[in-house]
Amino acid sequence: MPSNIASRLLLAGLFTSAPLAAQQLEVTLDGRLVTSDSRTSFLDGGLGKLRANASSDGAELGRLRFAMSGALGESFHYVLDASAWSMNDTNPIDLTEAYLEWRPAPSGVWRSRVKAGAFYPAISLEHRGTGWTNPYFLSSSALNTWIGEELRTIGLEYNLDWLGAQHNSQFDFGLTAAVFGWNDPAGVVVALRGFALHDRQTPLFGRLRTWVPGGGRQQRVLFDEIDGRPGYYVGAQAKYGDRVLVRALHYDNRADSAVFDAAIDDYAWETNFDSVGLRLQSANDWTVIAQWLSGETFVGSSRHDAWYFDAQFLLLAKQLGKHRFAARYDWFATSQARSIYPGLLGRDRGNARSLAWTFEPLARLEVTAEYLRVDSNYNWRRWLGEAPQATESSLQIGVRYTFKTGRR
Amino acid sequence: MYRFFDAVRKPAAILAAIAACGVPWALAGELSIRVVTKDGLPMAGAVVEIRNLTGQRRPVVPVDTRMDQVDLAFAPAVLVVPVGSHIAFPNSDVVSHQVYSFSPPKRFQLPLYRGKPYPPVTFDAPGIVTVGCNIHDNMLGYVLVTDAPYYGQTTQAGTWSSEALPPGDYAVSIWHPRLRNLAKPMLQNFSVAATGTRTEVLLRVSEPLRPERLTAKRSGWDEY
Repeated sequence: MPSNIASRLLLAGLFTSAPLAAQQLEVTLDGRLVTSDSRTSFLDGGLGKLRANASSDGAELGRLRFAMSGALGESFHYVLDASAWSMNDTNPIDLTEAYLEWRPAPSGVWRSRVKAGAFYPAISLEHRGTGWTNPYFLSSSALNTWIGEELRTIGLEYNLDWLGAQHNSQFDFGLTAAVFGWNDPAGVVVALRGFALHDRQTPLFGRLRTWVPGGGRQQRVLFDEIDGRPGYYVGAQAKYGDRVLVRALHYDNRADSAVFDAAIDDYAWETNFDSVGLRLQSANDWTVIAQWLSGETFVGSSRHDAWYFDAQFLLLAKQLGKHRFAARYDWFATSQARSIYPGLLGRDRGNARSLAWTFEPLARLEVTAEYLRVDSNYNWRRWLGEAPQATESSLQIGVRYTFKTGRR
Repeated sequence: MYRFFDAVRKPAAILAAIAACGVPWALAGELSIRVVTKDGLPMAGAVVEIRNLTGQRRPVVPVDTRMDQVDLAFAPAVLVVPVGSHIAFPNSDVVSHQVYSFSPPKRFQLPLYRGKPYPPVTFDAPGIVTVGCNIHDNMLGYVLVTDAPYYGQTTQAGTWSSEALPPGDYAVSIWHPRLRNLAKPMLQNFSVAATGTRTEVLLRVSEPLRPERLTAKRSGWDEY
């Protein structure tokens, strides 16, 4: 993405004349103890589905996060979110989101909102914490892991909300539409590597290490404008009180798959998908989340290579005082429909089972234990001399401490 | 409005029962309102407003109070105040809130803040004011601005009582955030027969209620 947009946002945030009381600083340190029998991680050039490797058991940095947010005048606010994930990244610390939102106080039942900058489209129903953090698991679902890896809206998003709850109704509705650029490579990772389950979000100026057929380990750039054609998404959501939330979204980056960018050694990947999500909450603190996503991606002149990808999950969580228990079942599949190298069509499918227990002994401290098991079958593992079928599991203990400016 | 509830008045029987139990004399002339759901369960937190239909209306006295914001929820979520009252909206959360209302009796907004940077808001017209946070759409609060000389909220047992009212005709109106139609409180007329009699009014909601709002979420959660 263009660095001048981000730096202007940063300057606007740091040197605003808005009252300091409305500015907030948040720092989170997330440390991990990990043991895993995973294949070589995709981060290290393998086709393992996890962030951890069998060879890297021990203490790790999960995430170190710095975030600033606050008001700019009466109707604007900004969010700057930067994280360090590992010492091997392109930049030791890098932005994951940086945006300005115009959100004037509603003067009637219809409210308009506009977001400009770099941010997540409203797809994940798991990531409820600030900084797109997942309060249920250390490792996100396959579906939302992919969102964090390859997707970011770098552009403008318009939202129109019907605030029924303020208007004697039990329902709220919202429509969203966005125009964006700098997301042309989106699709390369899910096509070549398949889905994965972890918590690392690709930073705006960073890269994602992934395996490429014949190319070994590569640092893929994901946030780049290649063909000069903007993409779009449109979506809708409905809420019934604070119990039921339903969302749907159609995304199309409208990339011209014939255009190759030598600077990042990649094509524009023409990617579109549909996504639907449902979240239910009960009075006795049960939460159910279900999401479904199905898409396709094309690359090369005349779309000579094509892949279909699908992911779904079902999550069940129960809060019991300071304890939160969560279970999740994931299904995912990527299949190559055609290729200029016929006979080597990639096909990856699998499922994952996750269990997590989170304990909050203090208001700003969370301790999570997570067990994750992924069963997958990817024929391209043969290229690495491995069996296509893999069962990988990890056991992690995460300690997350958050410092926030503020009184509590 | 009568179809929404049943009203029961039995002052003489109640008076006799109280006398038999040896309850102090001061209570004998009191007014007691009881609100129950369709299933007969007590309805706690219902707003009670009583207006006299005869005689001179007692003027209302404005109050100074507050509606705090704790764990992404208004606390209390429902306030009943006389016309002209001042309400402060401090924010005790770590995250910032932007409080607003576009309800006709009081339109206002307090730009994004934490702590208590703004002076109290004056509610100078009667009616139901729905309060929200522009950042956290699940936050809902209600201010009932009343011109009624007698008002309050029911206890956990679903009851509200007051000192004896002067003899005459009265209208009681009941409002609760779980009523199906929030714009229309339940109404019922009743009479106080003579000085020193105890009056008991039972109101039953005739429709199923809206689901209860869920308990507050963790303060660090956002609305992704």
